[in-house]
Amino acid sequence: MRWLAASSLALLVGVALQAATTTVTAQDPEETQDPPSEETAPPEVAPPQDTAPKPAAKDAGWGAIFIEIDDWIAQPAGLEYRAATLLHPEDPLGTSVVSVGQSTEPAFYIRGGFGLRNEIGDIVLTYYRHSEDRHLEALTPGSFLYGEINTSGFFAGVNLDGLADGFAADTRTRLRDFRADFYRSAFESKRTSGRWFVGYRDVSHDRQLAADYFAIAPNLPPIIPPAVSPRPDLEPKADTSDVSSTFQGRGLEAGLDVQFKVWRDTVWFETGLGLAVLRGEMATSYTSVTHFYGFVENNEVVAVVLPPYELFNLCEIDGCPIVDSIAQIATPVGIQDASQSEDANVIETDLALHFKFWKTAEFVAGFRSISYTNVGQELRPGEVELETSLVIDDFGLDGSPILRLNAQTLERTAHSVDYEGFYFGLAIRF
Amino acid sequence: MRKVLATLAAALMLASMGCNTTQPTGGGPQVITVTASASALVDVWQIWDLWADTDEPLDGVPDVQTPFHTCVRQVDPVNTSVPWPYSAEITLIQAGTTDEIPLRSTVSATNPFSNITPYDTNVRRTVPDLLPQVPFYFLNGREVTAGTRDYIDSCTTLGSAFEDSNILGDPVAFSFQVQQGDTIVFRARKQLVDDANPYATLVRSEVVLSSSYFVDGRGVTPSGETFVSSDGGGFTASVRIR
Repeated sequence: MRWLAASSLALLVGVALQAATTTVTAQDPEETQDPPSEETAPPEVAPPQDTAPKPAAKDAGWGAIFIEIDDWIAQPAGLEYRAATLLHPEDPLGTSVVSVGQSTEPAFYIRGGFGLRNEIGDIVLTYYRHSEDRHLEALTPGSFLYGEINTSGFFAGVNLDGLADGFAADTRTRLRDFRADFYRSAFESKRTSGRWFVGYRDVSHDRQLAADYFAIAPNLPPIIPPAVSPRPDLEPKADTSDVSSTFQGRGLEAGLDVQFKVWRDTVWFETGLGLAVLRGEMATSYTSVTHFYGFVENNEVVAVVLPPYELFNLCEIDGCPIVDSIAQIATPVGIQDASQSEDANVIETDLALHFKFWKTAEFVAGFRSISYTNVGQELRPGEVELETSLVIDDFGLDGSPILRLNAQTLERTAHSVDYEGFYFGLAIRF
Repeated sequence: MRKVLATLAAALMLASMGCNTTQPTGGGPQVITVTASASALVDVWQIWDLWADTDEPLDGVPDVQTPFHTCVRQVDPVNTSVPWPYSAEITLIQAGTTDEIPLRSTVSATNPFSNITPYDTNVRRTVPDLLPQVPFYFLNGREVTAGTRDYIDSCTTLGSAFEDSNILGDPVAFSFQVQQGDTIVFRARKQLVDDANPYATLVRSEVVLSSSYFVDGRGVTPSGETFVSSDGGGFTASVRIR
């Protein structure tokens, strides 16, 4: 529905530009006539506008229609999905960052349009959608080497040191980019021609990083019979985090395409540069749940059980009146910023080789790069504190008692993303 | 022309498949072995077997071993292996998973503390025979600790109350096959002194229950605790197969 609305808007923009340009054309009759040099040019050297894309035929109503479908093997770069840190087992200064890498996910880049009569120009619609879900996990049971960098940090890790012996991270990236542009010839020579364009661009970009940090083999003192009944609820639960943002922006763009003829009307290079300035809304979200062991009396947390949890042993000797009062307490924190005005911009460049292998069909191969600046954001709590009341008044879905955390400060990190890669496809012109 | 279109279509299909690489999994099965032992301060005893000269007339040569022994306690106790009952459980976390799969356990058994750590099997030294009191002879003199089966059978009347050593049903060590990336978790808990009769009669100090781990015969250092000394205490250790 949104795409249709944007298409309709583009059509209106196109019609308006057509009308405006027609007025200008009427003031400059020479521009609507074929240059004398072209009429006398040798037949084997065709003018550039006869190649790509084909301009509108004179006095023929709607001009040429074309559609181009590229398979763009684009790899997002700069997403910076940092899942965890990895401690070097021997070098205290050798901690590294573990990031979720992105792959070369192919997706279709679709362009289509039509020429306006009297060589006024072309209306071109472009649509690109990229979707990528990635999963990364590392499990080293018993070796607590992974830093829980995406949690709130409050009592993170089974040993309260912010470390886990495994993690699983899932990323979700969505991009939708729609353009509606008006192209018009800027210059042309025997071997080179150029077209400027202006238009409307609508971009939405979603990013999400969800991570679970495990204590797979925490090696806690065993609570096993017959000293104590098993307590599955004391098995360490995974600390979790979820960081996401959604950007929806729109704005104007302008740029220039240049074609370099290589061989007759059959082979040519085409390169382009476009810049869009967008204004939009950014919605961000952050959640984190960490856990700790605490003594609970009369529904109130009275003390924290500290590692190495020798109390698990001691209480059993005493017949275990204490272990029954120990609970694993969840400490969640969640922040949502539903709407924040943000500026973003897009720079798109590409270089392609066109090969016309049939009257109306071309093969296209090239390299394209689109840089989306400031279309992602990470919102995190700076410092968190327990609410003043230590009375448990809420329980999670798994029955865990909950103590809420308050975020004292917030930190925002802007993210940009580049999509770049080779593409090839087919273009049909009627 | 059709060939060209077909080639382009095939290229598009190939490209749309994208890149997908899968790392090969390496490493074959390996054998992990878990052992447990207990140590404590125990008395040292010198023991002689009692033989008799049953010939008529006596010929000065002992020819029958009696069921009796002479035991003499030495002054200084030593720290050595002792049998001690404990409960145990071993679980497996397969590579790429986070769930523990129980392999063997005595936790839910009728007698959870049916595991017994190995006895001391060392003979500290041989000692000279005592002077005979004809027709009895004190032969085969040796010095052993109270942690030996020899001491228990020779110098106490509780021999039948002591069980054979075992770990999760196996005599000395518990072994099984694992794959690279697997993790085994071993949990054990000592029986309380007050409940550990007659074993508690052997020791003069707190018993330390400890464990050792070997992969394909090579000793490995696990994560977590490998021993416990507090009464009734337990430990959990894990070994990840590399």
